Amino acid sequence: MPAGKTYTQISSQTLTSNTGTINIGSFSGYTDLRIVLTYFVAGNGGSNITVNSSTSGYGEMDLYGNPLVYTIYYGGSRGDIYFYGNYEHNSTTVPGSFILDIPYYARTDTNHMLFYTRGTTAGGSGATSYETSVGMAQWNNTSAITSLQLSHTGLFATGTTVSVYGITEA
Amino acid sequence: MGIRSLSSASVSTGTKRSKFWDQATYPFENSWESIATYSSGATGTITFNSIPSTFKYLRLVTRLRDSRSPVAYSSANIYFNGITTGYAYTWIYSDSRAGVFEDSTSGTTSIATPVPGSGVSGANIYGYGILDIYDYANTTKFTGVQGIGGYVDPGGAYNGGEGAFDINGTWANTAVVNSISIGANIPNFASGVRASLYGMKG
Repeated sequence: MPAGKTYTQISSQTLTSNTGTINIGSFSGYTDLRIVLTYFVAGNGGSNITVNSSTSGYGEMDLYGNPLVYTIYYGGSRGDIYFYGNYEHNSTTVPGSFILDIPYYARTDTNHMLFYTRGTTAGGSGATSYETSVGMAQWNNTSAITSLQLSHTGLFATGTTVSVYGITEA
Repeated sequence: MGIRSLSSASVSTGTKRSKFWDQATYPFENSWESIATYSSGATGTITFNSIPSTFKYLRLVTRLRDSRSPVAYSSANIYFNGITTGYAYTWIYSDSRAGVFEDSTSGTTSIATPVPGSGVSGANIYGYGILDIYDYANTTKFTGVQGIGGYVDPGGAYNGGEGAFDINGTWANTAVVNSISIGANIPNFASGVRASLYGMKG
């Protein structure tokens, strides 16, 4: 009954200099995508994702906690996906982790959902730099997802690694 | 993931040794196996039968929508081996209106995952879920479920979407799980639903 092994590494890149954006593409031919990001940050800031360079049609819900607060964030109609947290994760030595799952990313008959978990124990500038969050985002568009852009206003730092995996259903 | 057979050479060269992660490849690469996919039209129940018991755990990926009238926290019902007794689940839940809370149910007929009904604003909006099913082939432990699911619908008639950030469930039965059913509430899933079942090697 099983159709064979899956979970194939499509690409992996490690930053050799600080950058504000990471572009991911050339991942056609699979059913689901998984993005695994181990990241360092050069300065305070927030992080966002856009799909296919689109600047409309996003909504999201995030559950976020740090030693001072836990909260729920709801963004109804956004121009990008704001993955909650990391405004004070400012470390070039202590990593943050981010895993993003995108089921059925190539389908053209329904909306798209993205699920993520992220966290860091970077410490540094304040208690809020210890944080974890889990969330989901929806892109209300029936186009197949062909590219992703990860952005951080504080810049992803040298050593940040992003790997892309493809999963194929039976 | 454990560390063994670790040598200075494996560290300095970054070579993968057994289950040591060299940080260049993800530790679970090629450890998944696609078992089956449901991709037919509207139905009341999606069932995967004859599931091999050779995996460490299972992953169920779903894209669902039903025709239920707008209600809070509409869900689909997941049960094993055709049995609808012995389930318990808890989830951290939210929608755009009510904030976040936790809900627990025991002694119930299934484990729930969020599904949008007819109150969503667009015909092509579906809810998605990713559920891992542990100890499904272990005859000395109950079967456990953990996952995430939901949808976001800013223009919808009800709540703007809902999400279950952490679904945890238990089936209080030590039988090997050889079938998984996903049942719609009222009355059927819409056309376009899809479910994919994967097996994970430990």
